[in-house]
Amino acid sequence: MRSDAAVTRARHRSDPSWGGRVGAASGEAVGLCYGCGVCSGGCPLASHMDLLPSRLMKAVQLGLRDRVLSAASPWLCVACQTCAVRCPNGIDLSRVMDAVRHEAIGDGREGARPEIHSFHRWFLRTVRLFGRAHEGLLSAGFSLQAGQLRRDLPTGLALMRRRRLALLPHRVRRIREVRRLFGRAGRGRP
Amino acid sequence: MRRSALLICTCGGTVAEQIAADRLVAVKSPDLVRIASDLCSPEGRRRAAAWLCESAADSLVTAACAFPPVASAVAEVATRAGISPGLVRLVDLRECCAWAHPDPRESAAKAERLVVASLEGIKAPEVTASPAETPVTGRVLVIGGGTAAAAAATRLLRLGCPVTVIRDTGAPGSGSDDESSGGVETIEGRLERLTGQVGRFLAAVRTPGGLETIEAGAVIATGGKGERPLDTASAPESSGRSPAVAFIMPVEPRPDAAEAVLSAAVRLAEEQGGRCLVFFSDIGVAAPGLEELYLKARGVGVTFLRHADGSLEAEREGNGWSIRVDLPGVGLLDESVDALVRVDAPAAPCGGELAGALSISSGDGGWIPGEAMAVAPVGTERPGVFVAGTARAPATSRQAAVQGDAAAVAAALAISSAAAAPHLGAVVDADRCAMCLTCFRTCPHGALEIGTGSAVRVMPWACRGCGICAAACPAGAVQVVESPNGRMLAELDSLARGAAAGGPGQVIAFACANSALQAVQALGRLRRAYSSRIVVVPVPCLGRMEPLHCIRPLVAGARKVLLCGCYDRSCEHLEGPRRARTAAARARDLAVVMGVDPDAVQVWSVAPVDWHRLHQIFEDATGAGPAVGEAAGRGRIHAI
Repeated sequence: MRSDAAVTRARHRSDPSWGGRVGAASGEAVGLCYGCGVCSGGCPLASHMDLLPSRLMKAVQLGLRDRVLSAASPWLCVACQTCAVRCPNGIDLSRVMDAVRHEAIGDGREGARPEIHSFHRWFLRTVRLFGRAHEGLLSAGFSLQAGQLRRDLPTGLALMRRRRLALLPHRVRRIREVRRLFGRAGRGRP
Repeated sequence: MRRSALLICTCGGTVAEQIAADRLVAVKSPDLVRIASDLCSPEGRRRAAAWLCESAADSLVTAACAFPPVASAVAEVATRAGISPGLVRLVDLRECCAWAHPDPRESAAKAERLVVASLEGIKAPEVTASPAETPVTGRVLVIGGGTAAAAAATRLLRLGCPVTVIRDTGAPGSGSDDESSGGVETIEGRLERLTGQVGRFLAAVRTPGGLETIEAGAVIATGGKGERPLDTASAPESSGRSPAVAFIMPVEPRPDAAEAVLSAAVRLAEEQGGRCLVFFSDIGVAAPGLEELYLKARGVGVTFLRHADGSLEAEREGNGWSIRVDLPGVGLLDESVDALVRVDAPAAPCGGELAGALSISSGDGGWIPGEAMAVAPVGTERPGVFVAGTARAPATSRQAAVQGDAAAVAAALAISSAAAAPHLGAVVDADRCAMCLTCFRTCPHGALEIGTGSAVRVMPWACRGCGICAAACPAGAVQVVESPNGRMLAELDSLARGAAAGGPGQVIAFACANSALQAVQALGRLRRAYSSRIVVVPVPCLGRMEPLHCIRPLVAGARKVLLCGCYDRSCEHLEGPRRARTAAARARDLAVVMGVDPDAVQVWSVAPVDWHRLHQIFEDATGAGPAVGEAAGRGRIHAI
């Protein structure tokens, strides 16, 4: 749990147009949230979040741009949909989290946890290359970029010895179609 | 010698399982007997009435249930058969016997005791004069000129009740609806005083032309149109950009405040594209239509922020305001708005004056909150007086309409049940009256008047049948038809002696019809068993109790005498509990002289819904015999 007093005590000015933009990008009726907190109560990652999902919703409603974009919560969300199932106003929070992540990337910020974004990118890179994830390349690339190869290498070698981590990737047969999907997602290179 | 009739209703078998009707008859054979099982059906009542008219009986004991329509039906049947209301007795076989005592032998023995006592009671020599017959008025008096009044008048006309509307020329909202409605009489004026009781009210109205009196069966108090604090709130003029407004709701907003804020915010956001922040600690939308409005407001982008009281800082900044509030877990919000609207709780449009004129209590700010939200939402502590709309609390027009409608139906029902029941009240025996004026001084309703004759006179309009005068009269000249002294004493003697099955050692529990009796009936309905030695004697009010009523059963062999009635502040007759305590204190003095236990006389306050407390009182009275002090020491119940 990150409890950054400097962040929560900072003064924020609202920017309602930004809140509206995030709401529109997510396709969810962000305004309907009345802050009951059911999402925060059920979220499996709430204990690791610095801004609880329900409070993030309030901040999005108000358009507290800096507060939302500097939070780690959107990067921690694993889109398990527990909140979406339980929300009395039918809001799918994971889509809002997604929109916030895109905002953060567009803004040149990767939030409080850049390594999470880096992991996502390496994951998508392997999918783009082989049509399915390749743990070897994924973990090697991610570890290299995060500068923790030293820490992860022994684990990787042990996994290989036990044949749990393939050295060579498996390719899908029609890799072109996967690439076309990536192209259609329209966001270019992940 | 009287010809007494006994009418037993076995309640479609519910009672018959426990109590054999033919045994009841055998114990003390009355002159005439009829066993029915359907007194609650119109057909059954018709047959009973026919039998009674044919039988030429002059007194009637009915053994049935506590279902109120049955009581009023029995009274109606007896009136039709020409029996004086003082000689009609209703024994509750169901709630007080069959349902309260699971053992059939116990409940049957108790039923016998009650029936025998009632039969002995009605044989006692008694004042049988019935009070002056006063017809029930169907007219309903509606006070106020707003939405609730209009809704009530409309419904009443549809129900066939004539309506008189009293509108105060000075009150807010008067003149808001100038329709010339057929069947509604409208008077410009102000209610000064309301005397009488349900079915027979007399209202004194101050009009520009002088004091007018109006006869009415029921009264509905409504407010004016009510204040809508934000009806005029609109966006401030600001050039170039859409306005930003912050609303601060009161800590506990009434529904009208919530409606006003929500609709103003929606208008601002929808029509002018403005930005609205609503600060609240309780959104207060628990009223018809408000949840939808709240949803709409959120849908159009109004932002709602919960804040703790006092955590909001606002100061002027140029033409607008700068607001700072701590949002827990998010941070400090620093906002500039063009306008700040603080909504305060409005004051009652009619003040406490209306409540005073109606002789009912009013709450904070002069609002008349009504009796009990859950049980009687439009009722007041005075039977026949109802409250709706903005007299009760600030209300939205939709709420006011719903309440007015409900009050109209309740008023019509109250009048029809008053019409079916005979008018019970005080009667004066002119031969005994010494004109000492004790009754005149004690009557809480001012129902006795000193005429030119040699005796006081009862004004049936004002008498509410509490019996406080009867208890106070030193000459025994004033009696209440509902519980005449001779009959009460004969019944008590019979019960205390255990003349029928049971023997001495009974506990006599007097129960005020307004409170404790309802709790007794609830115990029966909930099948909460208590000792069958407890015998409940209904009285119209604890103020009816005389020291003799307490001491005589003890001397005759009763174990305890409990006086169970209202709390001081909720007594409809204002003085009942206090007078009961005085009577009990005198009875205790007498008990010492007579050589019986003075602690056997106890006075308790029991709310109609507090059957649990009553059960505890009953348990303690029949248990190993803890004294009053011990019972109080346990912390569960408190002697007064």
